[in-house]
Amino acid sequence: MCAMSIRAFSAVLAVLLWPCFGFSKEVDQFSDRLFQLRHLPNSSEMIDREINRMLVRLEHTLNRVQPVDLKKTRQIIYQVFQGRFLAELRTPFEYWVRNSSDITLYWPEHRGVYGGTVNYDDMGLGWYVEISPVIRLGNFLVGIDKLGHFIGQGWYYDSFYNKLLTREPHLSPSEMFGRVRDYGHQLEASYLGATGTAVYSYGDLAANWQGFRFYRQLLAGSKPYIEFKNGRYRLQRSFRILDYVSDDWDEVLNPSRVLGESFYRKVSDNVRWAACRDFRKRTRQFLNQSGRKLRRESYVSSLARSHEMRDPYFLDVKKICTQLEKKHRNKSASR
Amino acid sequence: MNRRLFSFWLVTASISLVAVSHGALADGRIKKGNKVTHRSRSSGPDEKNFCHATDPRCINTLLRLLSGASLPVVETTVGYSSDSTASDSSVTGGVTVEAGSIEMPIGDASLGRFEALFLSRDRGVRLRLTLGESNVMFECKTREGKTNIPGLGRMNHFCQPRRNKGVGGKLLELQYDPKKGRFAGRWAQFNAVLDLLGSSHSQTYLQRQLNLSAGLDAESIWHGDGSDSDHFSRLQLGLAGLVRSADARWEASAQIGYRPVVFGTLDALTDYGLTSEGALVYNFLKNESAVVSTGLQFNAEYWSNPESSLGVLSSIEDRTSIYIGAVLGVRYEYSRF
Repeated sequence: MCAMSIRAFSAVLAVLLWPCFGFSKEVDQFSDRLFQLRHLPNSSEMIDREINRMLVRLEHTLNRVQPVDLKKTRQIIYQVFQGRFLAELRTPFEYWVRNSSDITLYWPEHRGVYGGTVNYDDMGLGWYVEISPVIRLGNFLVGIDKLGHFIGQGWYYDSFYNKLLTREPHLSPSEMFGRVRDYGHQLEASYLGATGTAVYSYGDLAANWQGFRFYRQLLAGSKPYIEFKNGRYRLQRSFRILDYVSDDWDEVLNPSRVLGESFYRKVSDNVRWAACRDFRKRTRQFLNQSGRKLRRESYVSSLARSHEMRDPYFLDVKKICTQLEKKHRNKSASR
Repeated sequence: MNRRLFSFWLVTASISLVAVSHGALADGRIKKGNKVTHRSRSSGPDEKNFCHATDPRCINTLLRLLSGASLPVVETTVGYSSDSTASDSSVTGGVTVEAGSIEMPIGDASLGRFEALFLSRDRGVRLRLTLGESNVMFECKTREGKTNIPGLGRMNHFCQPRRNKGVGGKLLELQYDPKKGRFAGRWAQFNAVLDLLGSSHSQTYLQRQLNLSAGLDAESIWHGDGSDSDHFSRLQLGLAGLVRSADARWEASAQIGYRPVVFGTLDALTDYGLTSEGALVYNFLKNESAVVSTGLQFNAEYWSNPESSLGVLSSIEDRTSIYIGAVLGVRYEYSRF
């Protein structure tokens, strides 16, 4: 009865707050970047531990239920990784990372580069949603929204892929992957990105794609995490988030595209104020490149190109800070 | 009693202010759980003095907090009310708690509002509960001219700021006057709304708005004196506006309404209510997630048949009622979606 009322209340609350649920959060990776590199400890072990705990739970549940078909198996995976409570609206794993007392996060000041003069006209409903904190995974700095994309959107990529397998089996693997990338583009071009926050994040797409890879390796493939043998599900290997993270998840190294010139100008001004001094002084340290990168075509849909033509406003720190330098040089030359 | 009421108000107001001054300033720093381990250099001076009158960041922060999702909203009022015969003039006050609300450029909505008011010695206490309410949710017209559903449409489309039409309504508004044993309920209300200034779906809506509305509701009243109950429907015609100063500190709002009965157990059209209310408040940021608003509130109503009235401060004995008083409110931002 109590659970029922909690559910009913949650449903009503969700109806009230729907404009903000289900949005991809934006992340500011420009502000205090050197400070983050100096003080943020590596949290990859904690992430691995939590996902490995979920894998053990999945193994136990599969053995207990012994699902007879793919649909039931997927239901179980969904319950373990997405939770039962409004999973489409919020990825529980991201929520856990945000609130865990073991994980150290960097919180930007005053909405970081998405603060200042940026307003509703620029960001739409995303203006009301907090900026995602930053976590360090190995040597990578990433927004925790990327972990939400990895676990949450990766699952929806996998679900879409499975639908394609049954509905359009005649498609070749490369065509199928192309369709999955297009699906990801549609999500990012709508409420999970462009129309939600006016930011099209390539980092989100990279995390989605790696999440898709993870779910495909869960029970199948050459090295599955859980294998079905002799009527039992057995955990074969442990999870490592660093097998999936790359420079593509970092929005400084993989610049996002913002919609509209006015929005771009405001955010660029904030980036100049927050990051250019550090960028110019210690460029290499600031960029923090590992060199590990996915091929862009492997996770970005070709459909994205037409949008890039329309809004070519990439938050590219090199371009933004170089423009500033040129401006300074021209000023001193004219003096 | 008045002294008691004043003390009650003072205590509620103090609790609100103390609670708000302990709100978190969780920015520009590295945190492990709730513990701050390092602060960035740039967050130092800003933290102490982060809001200046001309600072766009603060104006935007203030506007965002005033319009974004709030969980909860607490408001306390105290003032002076008088009826047409001035026979029941008294200090009036109370507390309003709202579980959650949004007031964005797409429209507004609130959930679970509870109000407890002391009206006067004769009229006693009034308790009110509203399950859900939205004054308006605007349609979403895209640049291509396609119309999308109110509110939800903004998630997938860029809605154009224009004279948008909208819908609003109420669900389950219950009012109980224990001293009279009177119970009134507005079961549901549906309104059609027009944004007269064309500011909806833009930042301008947070500074200026003027909405015209027309709707119909379903009401029931159990008079509590052993007499019959009444079940009827009222037409609702209203005009509501809001204007905020350039720095968003000052805010003036007003609304007027005409509510004639259109059918039911009461006389159609001859049984009507004229309502008006206004407020002038000053908003100040207490910290990055809370706004305190304080100012004056005004309410004046005329009901041709006060026994059928339904409203926060409506008199059930006198045709005219007037209230003027102070208001102190606190909104806590909720942005952790």
